[in-house]
Amino acid sequence: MNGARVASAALQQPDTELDRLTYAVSHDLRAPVRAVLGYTAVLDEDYGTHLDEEGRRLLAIVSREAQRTLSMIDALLELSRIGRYDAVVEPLDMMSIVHEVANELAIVPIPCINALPEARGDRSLIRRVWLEVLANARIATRARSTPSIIVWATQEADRVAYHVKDNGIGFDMKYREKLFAIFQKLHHDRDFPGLGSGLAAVKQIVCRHGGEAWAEGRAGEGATFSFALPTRSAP
Amino acid sequence: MNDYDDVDILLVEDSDSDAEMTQRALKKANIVNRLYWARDGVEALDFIHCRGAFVERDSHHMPKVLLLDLKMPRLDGIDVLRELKSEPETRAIPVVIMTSSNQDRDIEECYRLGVNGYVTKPVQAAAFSEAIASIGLYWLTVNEVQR
Amino acid sequence: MNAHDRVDILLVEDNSSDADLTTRALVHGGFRERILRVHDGVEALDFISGTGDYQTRDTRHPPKLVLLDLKMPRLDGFDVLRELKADERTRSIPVVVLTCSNQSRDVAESYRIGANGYVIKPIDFIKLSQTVSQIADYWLRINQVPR
Repeated sequence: MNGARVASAALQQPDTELDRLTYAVSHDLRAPVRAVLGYTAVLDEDYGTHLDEEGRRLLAIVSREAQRTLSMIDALLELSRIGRYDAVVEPLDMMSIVHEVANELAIVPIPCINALPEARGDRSLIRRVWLEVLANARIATRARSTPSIIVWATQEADRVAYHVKDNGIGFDMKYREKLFAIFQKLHHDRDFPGLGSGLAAVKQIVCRHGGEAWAEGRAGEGATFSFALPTRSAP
Repeated sequence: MNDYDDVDILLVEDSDSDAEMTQRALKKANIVNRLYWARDGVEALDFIHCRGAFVERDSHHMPKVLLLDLKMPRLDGIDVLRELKSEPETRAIPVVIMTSSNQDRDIEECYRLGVNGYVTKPVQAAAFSEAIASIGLYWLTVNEVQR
Repeated sequence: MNAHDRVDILLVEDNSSDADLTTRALVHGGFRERILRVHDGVEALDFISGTGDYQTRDTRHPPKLVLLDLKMPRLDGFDVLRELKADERTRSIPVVVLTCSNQSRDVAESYRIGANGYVIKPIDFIKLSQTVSQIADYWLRINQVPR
């Protein structure tokens, strides 16, 4: 293996105290959620037939909201794991990662328009970044008759920037501060389903690599998501 | 006959709802059992050692399995496990940790101390019921205990 | 990577028809896990530690369950159990003694050395099937081991 398993040297450790807190809180929150899910199932099993249609509807809402709480807890747990994960820094073939992810998401044709330079980082974390960004692009363009997603890279002094541009629903730049914040969404669920946790993960991962993530967009026209990674591994 | 005589399962659990769900799941799976619910580690050890409130319990009869939570007030699960597995008289009692924690370090520590099994409590109700049913079926009807 | 790298169940059984019946019971119960049968304790330990005939095996993936007979030539079940439970690297591998012996001293000794469970093999195939299914369901689907 030509990577080096370093917990802190090559990749910056983000606020690990916050990560630990997030982990502890998310973990402890699961217990009462489990109780809610359990008791709604019991109610349904034992008293479902005694409820009228409205009663069953109300119960279904309780259950659904508990499920949603669970998904949010899992997203938080996942996010906190990024900080605690033992990253392996190695050279990464970004082209092959993009191809892999695009295939997984069934994005055809594969959208790279120029050869993506190699990056240095943790393969599974960076793969996650591509997954989130490309998955978002796919969702944003799902209503388009001719969806377009393109990927390219630009070389800067001491870093490489990777870009994903789509012609989807875009976003209002006025709210761009919220983009990478957890659970903050710029669209209604019906237009853009999801918890709003993917870009928070992107930001965490990219920052951990000593890089930066940003985006530009126009509501109704499309968006470009970018992230840059330093070309040298040690911060 | 006391409710602590001839107990098959000693459930050590501080959460009311988890205890209720566990008992319900066993009933649903038609697993006949005598279950005693200890609310924390101190009560559990008193039960096993036949002291305190359990002074009249028959010390020759040990439960077929201890379902033990980890995070509890007063004595937590690890301490109970450590004590039970370090004493020859109680070492052979099957202990299955049943906890919210799926943290590697908890799992490793428990196996290091000699736990028989480890189960992370599923959050989804159906999966929780299935897990309890499986635990009940194996540990109460299949597994052989030391007499 | 070879076929021996990812074995889920290690069946340690010197009697071939018993081994065959147990394997059939697992398949019958719908368990698609990879089963490797070895004939005695020496082979079992070689497999787990990647020595002897299993030198090329990647030992980073221990089996999820070891089903261990007691009475075997060369190294018997107790020897295997002792070795596995004494070594920190293998201590957390679940070992369930699966034997014809219903002798209480065998049960006691197994638990003393650290067996995770003990099951007496039913003679009747239907019952054996059911028992093996319940063993597999708990140990393969519900029980957790360190990663």
